[in-house]
Amino acid sequence: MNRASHGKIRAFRPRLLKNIGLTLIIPCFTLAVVLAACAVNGVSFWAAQGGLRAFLYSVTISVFSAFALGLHLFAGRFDFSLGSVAVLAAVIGGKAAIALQCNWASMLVVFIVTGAVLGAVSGLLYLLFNLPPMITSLGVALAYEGLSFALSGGSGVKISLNPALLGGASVEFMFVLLAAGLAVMYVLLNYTRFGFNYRAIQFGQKIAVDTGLNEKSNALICYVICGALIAVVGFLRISYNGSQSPQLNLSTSGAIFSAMLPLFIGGLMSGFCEQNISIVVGCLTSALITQGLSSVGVSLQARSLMTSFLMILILMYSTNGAAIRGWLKARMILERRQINED
Amino acid sequence: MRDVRIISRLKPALSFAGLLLLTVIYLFVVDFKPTAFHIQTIINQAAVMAVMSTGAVFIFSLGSFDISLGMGAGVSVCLGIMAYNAGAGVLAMFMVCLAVGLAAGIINSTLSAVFKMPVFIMTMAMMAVLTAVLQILMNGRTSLRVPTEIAAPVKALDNVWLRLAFMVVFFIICAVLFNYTKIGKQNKIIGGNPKVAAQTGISVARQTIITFVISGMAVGIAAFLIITRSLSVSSETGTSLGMDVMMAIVFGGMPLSGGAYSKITAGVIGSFSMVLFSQILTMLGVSAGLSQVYKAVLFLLVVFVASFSYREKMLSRAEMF
Repeated sequence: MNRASHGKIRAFRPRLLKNIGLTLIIPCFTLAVVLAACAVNGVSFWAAQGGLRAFLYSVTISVFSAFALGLHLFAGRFDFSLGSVAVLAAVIGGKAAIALQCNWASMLVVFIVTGAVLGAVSGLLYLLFNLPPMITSLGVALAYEGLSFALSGGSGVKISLNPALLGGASVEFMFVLLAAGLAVMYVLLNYTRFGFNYRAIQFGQKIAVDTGLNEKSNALICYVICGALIAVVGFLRISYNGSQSPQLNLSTSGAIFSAMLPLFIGGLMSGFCEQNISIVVGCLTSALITQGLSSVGVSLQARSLMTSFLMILILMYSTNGAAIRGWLKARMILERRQINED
Repeated sequence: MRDVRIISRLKPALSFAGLLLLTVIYLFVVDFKPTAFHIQTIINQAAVMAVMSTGAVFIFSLGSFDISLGMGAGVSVCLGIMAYNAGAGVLAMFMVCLAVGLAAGIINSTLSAVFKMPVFIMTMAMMAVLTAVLQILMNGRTSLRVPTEIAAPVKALDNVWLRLAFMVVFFIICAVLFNYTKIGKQNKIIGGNPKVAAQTGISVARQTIITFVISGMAVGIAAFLIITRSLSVSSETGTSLGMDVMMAIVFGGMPLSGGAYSKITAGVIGSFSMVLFSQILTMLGVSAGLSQVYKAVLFLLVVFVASFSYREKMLSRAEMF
């Protein structure tokens, strides 16, 4: 190894350590505050109902929802239909798994394939109409909700009577799902042509399109991936609860809004780590806050209010952070000048 | 380009033609003998949505969306009922509803205009705040009602003519503001191109505040109309209302990007179209699930027609952050 590369490594290591530190500072600080609050109140961190399994379930659901929502959101699209894809994939996948006498592992494959197909349909409509995706996705969400209601006769799908289908929400498998989800998303966005094109469109749509990049195929792949990701959420929900009820009147969109806070928290760290890692850390932080508040006895309603205010504060900082930092910097320079003049 | 312009100009006329077609189909379903009950049902359902949609047209004309409107109405209904149950009269209840709607509008506009937060994402966060506020106000109850012994003055207002009067008066005020004052004209310019609007001296921040205040007023009036009809609120009140408003405006022929071709009539036409379509399906005995599928198909068809005036080389996307 020559002297130049030694120098690069020397410069790289502190930056890497600094980035790791800055990425972990928010979750570590949150954990410290939550543990301190639990200690002051004389309760255990796991005092809230469900313990580790419930905590991991909420993190995994949140991670997969945030991956799907984020993939669209960072590309300038908002998809109201994601929640309905999860429900319809659960209805179709659940019924198919029962009919085909699958085990839980093959049920996951059925769910992912169903979700990918539903995502592709949603994406094709977006490409056909070329309208703001939130408008197109409203229609798709209505249709998917209606279909899940009609296909299940309004009663949903129940798998709790089939023990072979219930292993998907074990602690061990949720760890596997989390690791696999992160690995797949990391590779997809960083080491594939799809990922390079996605980033090119994300940061300069016009330039990317003018240079001949096929934006439509990239968007369609995004929809397919998001469908598959959100189908995993449907799989986890039905595996954890044993059933999935259909929902109407666009109430499925509520599930997607819950992935917003983790995305916002992740956004704060996105300057220090890769996008998907920041999403996972954001989900973990958000789950820590919820678990902590729940353990110290804060009601569900008060928790919702606190987390939604936190969301607004983060959004406020995200949009005005640069201006605030610029103002502080200018003030410091002025103060230094004044000291020097004195 | 010329075709696009023609379709953009024709869109409101097409929406009106759609409303007429739905009216004819509805009349056919009721054997061309609509009863007073039929007409009252349609007006009762459409008036609330029409008032909210007309207010929301101002936001749409800027090229923005507000999905917190429904939850704003939910909180407004809840506080109105709480005020009435605490001994305030009907007028005070109306004022509370209006004040809550206006407060929600002012908060939204401040976050958007002063703190420069992206409108869609901001209203999504506000929807979460308002949902939590409503849940706290409900305090674990499934519903909150005006007790029967003091309900008479509110029940006396459960009148189709009153709803119609509120809708017509509010629509006329909004139509004047939108078509004959600089509020509407400046909104259309901002919706067309915010940079050009700012460079011609239009204060985008001031217009945003005025716009959200008008839509807040609409939310307050709609909340009052909801109370006079149902005398109750549940934690679900307003959940889908915001989405319905968005759909009604699109049904009504509003250009999806706002701007010069925005029409104040979109809210009323869209609301009546949606209610008529739902009524037709109900009278034909279509199940809830399939009814929603048909609604989605019609919505997508309308959107597909709308898309002819919106063709661009690149795919439609927005800066979310």
